[in-house]
Amino acid sequence: MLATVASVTSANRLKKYAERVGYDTKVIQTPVSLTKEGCGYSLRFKDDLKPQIAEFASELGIKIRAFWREENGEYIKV
Amino acid sequence: MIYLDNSATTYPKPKCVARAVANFIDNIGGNPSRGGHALARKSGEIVYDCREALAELFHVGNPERIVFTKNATEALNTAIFGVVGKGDEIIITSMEHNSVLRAAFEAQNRGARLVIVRADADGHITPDAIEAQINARTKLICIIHASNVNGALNDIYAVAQMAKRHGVLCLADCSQSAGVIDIDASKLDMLACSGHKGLMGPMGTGVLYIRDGIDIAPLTFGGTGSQSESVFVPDTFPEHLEVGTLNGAGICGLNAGVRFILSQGIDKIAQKERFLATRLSDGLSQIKTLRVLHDKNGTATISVVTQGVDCVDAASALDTHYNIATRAGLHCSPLAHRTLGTIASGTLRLSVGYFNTPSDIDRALFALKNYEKK
Repeated sequence: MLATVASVTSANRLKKYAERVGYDTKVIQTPVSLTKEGCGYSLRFKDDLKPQIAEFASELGIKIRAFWREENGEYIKV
Repeated sequence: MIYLDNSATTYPKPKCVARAVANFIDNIGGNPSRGGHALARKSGEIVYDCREALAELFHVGNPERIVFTKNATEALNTAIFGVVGKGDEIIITSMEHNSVLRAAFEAQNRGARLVIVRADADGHITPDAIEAQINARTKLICIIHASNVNGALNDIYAVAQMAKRHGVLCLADCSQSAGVIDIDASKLDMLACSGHKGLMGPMGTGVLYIRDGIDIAPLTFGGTGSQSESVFVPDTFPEHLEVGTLNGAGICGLNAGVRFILSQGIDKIAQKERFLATRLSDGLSQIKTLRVLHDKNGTATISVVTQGVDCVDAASALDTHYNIATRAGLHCSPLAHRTLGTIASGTLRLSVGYFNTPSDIDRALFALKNYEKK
């Protein structure tokens, strides 16, 4: 699953926060098809971590623009 | 070489700084916030790690409010021109470095009103003196934390608190104090500093901290690696004020420098520098031809007026005959020298760093005593 955020800084901040409690995530460049704004960054993680990632973002004051589930090579907004 | 020019830039740096810079260039090298490949990601992680280290050092909660600049001057200019516009008023002090003084005069040229509050003869400024100048047009107070001429330390927290009561922003220039004094930036609106002085990073690095909730206009405009379709700079921090490729290698070195400080403990650094500075200041006071300017409660920056000898000649003699590095002149702070009464002579500045030893201090004192006899 992907969580799209505003910048690579926000993505890295979220990644480090998740890492500290043992969750494995990865910062990736946001697929162009998922953003109307051009280049951007997202956090990739296992689908079942979505509630925790949403909670971490809320704690840090990071706005998640959208969550996307990857299915058969496509992205579905959730 | 005995290096006593740490106010200009610290030397030597901790070994880990050079190693970090070399490792970045040799093994990482990707552009942070540009693209998504492994090297770009690693580079982005290191840059973020440095923001976290600085946030920890300055006791602030949100690393995204740490903005990287090329030096303290750029950080100060970003804050000043991001806040002060035509018709606004900016208050500075007579102890400011040219990095603030010249920016403030440029702001005045662009239609702002500039007020300069004079410090006392030792270089200290009271909140009351600044408060007396505040009016409805005042937008920004800019105050130096520690003087780069005599180490005089100002109560930036009291000034920030006073400014807050009036709804005015306060910018603290911590170029001489960051890394050598424990600074609680959570009590400040904005903090600017060099990366290559007390923070022990490489030259070409500077830092601007801006408190959550303060929005300032960018100084420069360009790519950020994000929201590329927009013709405007993103309003998210730090990208709002960080356009163009960052100094990845420099920031990597700065990260190593700040983490070194965190590992040593800022109190230990402050204690050692104060011990050495007191030893130097006391010794200098014994030399009859020198007039010593130093705040013993301030930083380890000491100036002396070399009566009967041009301060540049004194610095040159120390360099040539004793292999001691000092700095002579006005130190880019003409108003500070007017305040301290040293504008005509300038001063010879000896600035102590964490890696100096008591033996360095004693040898410098020996050289100055000997030079005096000649």
